[in-house]
This record gives sequence, C-alpha cells and structure tokens, in this order.
Amino acid sequence: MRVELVSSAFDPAALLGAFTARAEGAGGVVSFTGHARGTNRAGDRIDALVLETYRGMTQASMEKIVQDAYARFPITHAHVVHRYGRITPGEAIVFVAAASAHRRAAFDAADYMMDRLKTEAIFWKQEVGPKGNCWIEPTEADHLDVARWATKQDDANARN
Amino acid sequence: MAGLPILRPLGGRVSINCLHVELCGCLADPYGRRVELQWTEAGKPVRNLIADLLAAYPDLVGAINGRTVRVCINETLVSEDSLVRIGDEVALFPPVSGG
Repeated sequence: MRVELVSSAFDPAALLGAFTARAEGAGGVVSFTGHARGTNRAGDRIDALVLETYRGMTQASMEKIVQDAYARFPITHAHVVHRYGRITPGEAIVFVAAASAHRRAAFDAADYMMDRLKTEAIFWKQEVGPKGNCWIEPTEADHLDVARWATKQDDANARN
Repeated sequence: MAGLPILRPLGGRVSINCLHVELCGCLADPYGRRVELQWTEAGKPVRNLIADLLAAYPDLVGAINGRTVRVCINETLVSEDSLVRIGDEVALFPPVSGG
C-alpha cells in the first residue's frame, strides 16, 4: 500500500508503469487519474484549484480509505497519490491504482477509493477564477456515489 | 525589562492564557488561519470553545453558515464534551471538500 500527498506535479503514466511492475503476477490492474478542469460546473473559467490540508490528518484520512479498500476487496496492491496546494487546469490531482488476481476486485477497489476520496478525504478546495475564489464541497452526485458502497454486498469476494 | 515579576491573578488558582485555534477552509476567510482565545489553565469543554469563538469572532457565524463544524484536538476529531487545554493543537473543521 502506498499513499502519497504531494505538492508538485506528477506523471500518471510513470506512476502506472511503476505500479504495474510492482504488481507483477496480478491478473488485473486498474488505474484512475483525475485532472483539474479549466471550467467549473457553471461553465466559468477556473485559473487554478487550491487544495488545503490539515497536518497529518489529510494523509491519515487517505490511508484509512486505502486500508478499507484492502479489507473489502481481494486486492494485492494499491497506490494513491494526491496533490495539494495550487493546481492548474490540465494537471493531475489524483492517481488511484489497484491490482488483483481478477479484474473485478481491481475495478471495484479503484472505484471505491475514488468515491471515498471525493467525499471524505480531509481537503478543503477552492476554485480560483476571474470572478474570485469559491470554496467547493462534494456534490449530491458525489454523495450518491459513495452511498452505493454502504449497501453494496456483491463485492469482489463474492464474484471470485 | 528583565527581572520584572510574573503577575498572576489573585488567589493563584486560575490564570488566563491564550489558546491558539486554527481555522480551516472557509472558516479562515473572515479572520485568517489562526486566532487566539483567552482560556483557563484548567481547560474547558469543546462546547465552550465554540461558544467563546463565536462571541469573540462573530463573523465566524457567517462563515459557518449553519453547517456542522467539527473540532480537532491534537489531530483527533473530538466530541463536544472533550476537554480543551492550553497547549493543545486545536482546529475547527468545516465540512471537507474531499479530494
């Protein structure tokens, strides 16, 4: 398990290459990369996202999510990298990867980790644009996404 | 100025000191990231912390805007009964944005 909080840009392709090498023997490797958009939901231009953290608690909140993914799905490897600070449009914000013997656990674990990161990880996020700064919170869709896991019983264990 | 005695309140049982509180996210908008509160050495519970903060920094009411605020002491989220003492690392969390 690797969980990293980083302040500078990272290369998702390089991370995936290294992850795949570490996960040698796994039958399925799934990754997701989230990038900063250049517009917000209203269509207004965004110059940057600024992600604020709190001491060791942001890292700890991410580690808990990844630990829970290990407990819930039969994955063999996981890697999460998250930016903080100022992030400009197009830059990667988050990288999530999971590996498992069979594909479904890797898909589900990556999906699960992202849904929880989007709603529970300890970040405060501001959009910075020509109209000023705006704090943003998880959307209703984000909450619905994470709620799926509260009732989902058909995890990868059951299908393998 | 060296050699001046340290003044203490009469009785010596309760001395007033400063508690530093870190305001996270949007809560930092009206007053900045760190504020101070006068605090007792014996400590007070979290519920008093919130009340005292809102009294001393009234614009926080607008920043909170009816949302649930959580209190963190020494990197642990705590209940409103928890005791806050001078020297604790205290932070107020508005709802998180997530990643």
